[in-house]
Order: sequence, then C-alpha cells, then structure tokens
Amino acid sequence: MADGDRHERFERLFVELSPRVLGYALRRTDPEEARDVLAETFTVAWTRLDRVPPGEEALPWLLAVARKVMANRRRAADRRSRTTDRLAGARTAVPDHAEAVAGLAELATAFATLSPKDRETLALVSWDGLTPAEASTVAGCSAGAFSVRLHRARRRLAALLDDPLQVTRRGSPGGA
Amino acid sequence: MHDDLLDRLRLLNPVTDEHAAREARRMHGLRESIPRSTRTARWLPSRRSVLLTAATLAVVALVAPLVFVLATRSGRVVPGDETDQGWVDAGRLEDLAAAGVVYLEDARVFVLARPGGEPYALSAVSPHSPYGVEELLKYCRPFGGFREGEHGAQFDDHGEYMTGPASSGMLPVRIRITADGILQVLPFPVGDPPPRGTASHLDPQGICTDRTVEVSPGMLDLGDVPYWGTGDLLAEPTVWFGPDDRPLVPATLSTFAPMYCRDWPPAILQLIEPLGTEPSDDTVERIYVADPTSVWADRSQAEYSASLELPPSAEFTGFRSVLYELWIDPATLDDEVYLVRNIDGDDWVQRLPRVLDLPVCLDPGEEDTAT
Repeated sequence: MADGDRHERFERLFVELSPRVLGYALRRTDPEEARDVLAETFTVAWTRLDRVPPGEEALPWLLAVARKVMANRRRAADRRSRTTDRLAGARTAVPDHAEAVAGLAELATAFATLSPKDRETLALVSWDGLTPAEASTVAGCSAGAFSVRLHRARRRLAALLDDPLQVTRRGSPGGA
Repeated sequence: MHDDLLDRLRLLNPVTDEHAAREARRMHGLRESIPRSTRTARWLPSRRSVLLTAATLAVVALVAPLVFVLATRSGRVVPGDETDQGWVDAGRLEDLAAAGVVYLEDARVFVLARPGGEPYALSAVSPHSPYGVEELLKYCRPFGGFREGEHGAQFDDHGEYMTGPASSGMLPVRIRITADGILQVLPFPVGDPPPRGTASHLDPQGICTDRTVEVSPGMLDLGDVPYWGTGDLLAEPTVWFGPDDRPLVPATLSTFAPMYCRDWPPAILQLIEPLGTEPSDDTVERIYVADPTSVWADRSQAEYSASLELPPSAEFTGFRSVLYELWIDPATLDDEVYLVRNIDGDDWVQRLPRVLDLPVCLDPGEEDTAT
C-alpha cells in the first residue's frame, strides 16, 4: 500500500471508528485509561494496517485489539478489573431511573451478580451494539460459540430476575 | 422476554455511543472548548425536578383548556394582545396541523400543531446559547424531538429537556390565532423555559443520531455555517502524523471541526508545543484559525490568507496530515503558522493567524472566555 493510501485509510479508520473504540473502553475502565487504550489500539492498527479487515469487519478487529490492550495493561499493573466499579457507578445512577422504569434497579443488581464472562457477553451485544458474529471476533471465539454463550447469559440473567433470592444467595454484586 | 431483556439492559449502559463520540471529539479537538457539562451525562432527573414538573404540568392541564376556549372564541390564543407589530404568519391552522411540525426560518421558530391538539411554538435557538453564541436546533423525526447538531442537547416535542448540556428546556414563543384561522407567532422567547427533568423520555440517545436526523422542508440546515468554500475542508478531525510517520492519537496537534458554535471559524488548529507531546504544565498551547470570513479578525494576531508565498524563513515541522503539511516560522510562531497543500505540483499556502481570548460555548454562569 502506498504511503498516501496508508495515511488516508488510517485517518478514515480513526475518524469513523475511534468513538466506538473509545466507547468500548469507557464502558470497561476509567476515562484516563480509556484514552490510553484508544491510543494503543490505533497505534497497533497503524503498525498492522494491512491486517485490518475492510468494511464492517474493521470494528470487531479493533475492539478485539482494544480488549487485548486492556488485558495486557491490567496484567502489567496487576490491577483488578474496574468493571465492578463501573457497574457500581451504573447502579448508583439507577434509582432515579427506577422511579420511571419498574424493575430497572433489580435488573442492575441481577446483571452485576452475573459472572464477568456473562456480563461481557451481554455488554458486547447490548451496550456496544455488536451483532453476535461481530462480538465473537472481539470475544475471541467462533460465532456459534458466542451465540451459545449469549443464550446462556441471557437465560441466567432472566433466571435471576425471576428469582431475586438467587441474587442474595449468590453474594454481592459483581461476584461470579 | 429475552429481547426485551437486552433492550432494558441498554438503559444501564454507562457510556452511550453519543457520549463516547463527544468524548472522542473532545480528545481530538479543543479540550478546553468542550462545556464541562458535556463531559459527563447529566440527564437523570432529580426528584425535585420531577415534582416541580408534575406540578407545572398539572397547572398547564387545568389552564390549557380554558385558554383554548378563549382562543377559539376570541381568535387569539394570547388574549389582550392588541398590536400586530412583530407577529409573523405561520399558516392556516389546518395546514399546520396536517404538517405536524413546521419551521419558520425567518422567525427561527418551530410551530407544532396536531389534529385535535393544542398548537404551540418553540424558539429554534437552543437554550444552551449563552452570550449570544447561538446554535439552532433541528427537529429529529426518528424520536420526535429536537437536538443540537453539535453540542448534543436534546429536547422532547414539547421542548422539555431530555439530555445534553442545556440548562433548561426550549424557550417558548407566543402564538395567536386570527379570526380567519391563521396562526401567528411572536418570534421572541417569552417566559421561563421548562426546567430540566421534565421530559418523560428515558433515553433518546441511540435513536437520534446525526445520520438519522431528518430536516423538515424549509428548515435551516446547520450546513449554512460558513465552511470553506473551496471544498478542501478541515471539517472533520484530522489525524496528524509526526516526523517519525507515526499518527498522533489522540491528537496532540489537531484540527477541529466547525459547527462547535455558530459563528465560529470553520477550522481550528491547536498546537501543543513541543509539537507531538502530550499537554502538561511544561507545554505551551496556541490556537490558530482558518478564518476566511474574518469571523474572528478582531481576535487574531495576523490576517488569514489563503493565497501567499511561504516566507523564506519558514520551516517544515515534519508534521503532516493526509492533505496538509505544517510549516512554521520560528520568528512569527506567536502570530501565525502555515498549512501547505500540494495540488497538481503547486503548493497552496494558507496562513492561519493565532487567536487569543478564545470564546467558548459554556453553560450560563460560567466564564465566557478561555485562553
């Protein structure tokens, strides 16, 4: 690829998809770290631009890189996931909502009670707006395996909502 | 059940795509120009606001029918207005009701009338327009409300605040109906806008995006903000590459899109020096603008020019975007920089003057300038 084409393609990727990558990171970590994840992800994209798939497949590829970047950063810093904190923030924000939407607080509590893997599975589809096929790229599994994972995660969430006592039995929010 | 479950789960999304887009833009653009209120979602209504709104709605519900009866008897929605000065015809009530939402461009007013419903009018100037920096709202059909094209504040179809940096709902405008059924508006906001927390919608984000905004016939398109007329716009955030050919992401040397505020110059270049470094206490930030319409001539340290020769003392910085190279003259860096674009073998040089005292769009009560 000619230099000019590389620059142009990279700029297009960045302008179009950096908000989605940043959103993915912001949902899983704090803003300062999300900014670094964004920078590292696109630095990887720049160095491996030839491997970035074209069209709609670019976003799952970038999110998969972002996921690995976050995992590496966590390991390097020996830092526990901040998902729980993020969820705690979401749950704090829920009560006003709950006045208008019955059961939202219960949903937040049930969601926080799911395992991190189930939460991530549901979040990729519900929060990041990915199709199961796209989400499977990010999760690093086959589309079929992800669909099964998604089905099970939904079923477990529904079961928690049907039987709120399970939430209590399974311990504090965020626990596996 | 399960699809509904995923839909409800979206309400727990801590970072909507729109919020992320604003953050991305903030990172890539003028950090200090983003209103502080847009940095975090502040759309959850407080209990007090809900109660206040409920009381307001109750009063409106009691009074509105009476007003409407008076209006149909006297031909005026606002009894007692005895002069025609300033009133603008919006059209026949039946036609307006058939159209649903009509934008009066000259008056900058939206008229909303629905069959069997009470007509009303709202100023198209966003309430998030302090200090005379106006941003006009668009009517967004997918969710049936209004939104700021740039700041992202959204309002429901009664002008009540839904989300974004605005401090209140939209500004109401007086209307009246003449004896022959013509609805007229007095295109000046009157009274207090509805406070925050009045809208019943929970989450318009994700429903109304830039791509899905529909513009009513005759409605102002924010595209009339004075972009460059050359077609070579710096209208989108531009990725710059350093001397080592690595991209600066997030940008520490960036161009910023227009339309942040109405009447802003179309393109802004923020230099953080030393170039390519992250901003810190040791760096210097300077703002330069491409200002072909001289919007900020009185703030500029030099004159914008789109046709000049590079000064002999100018040096290439090593920084470039897809279209442009950044050149500076160390002796005049305080006043101007140069963007050079090669077109068919010829260098097209623009001089971007530095601006001081950069105005920003802020919420009421905040300072109106930043340097």
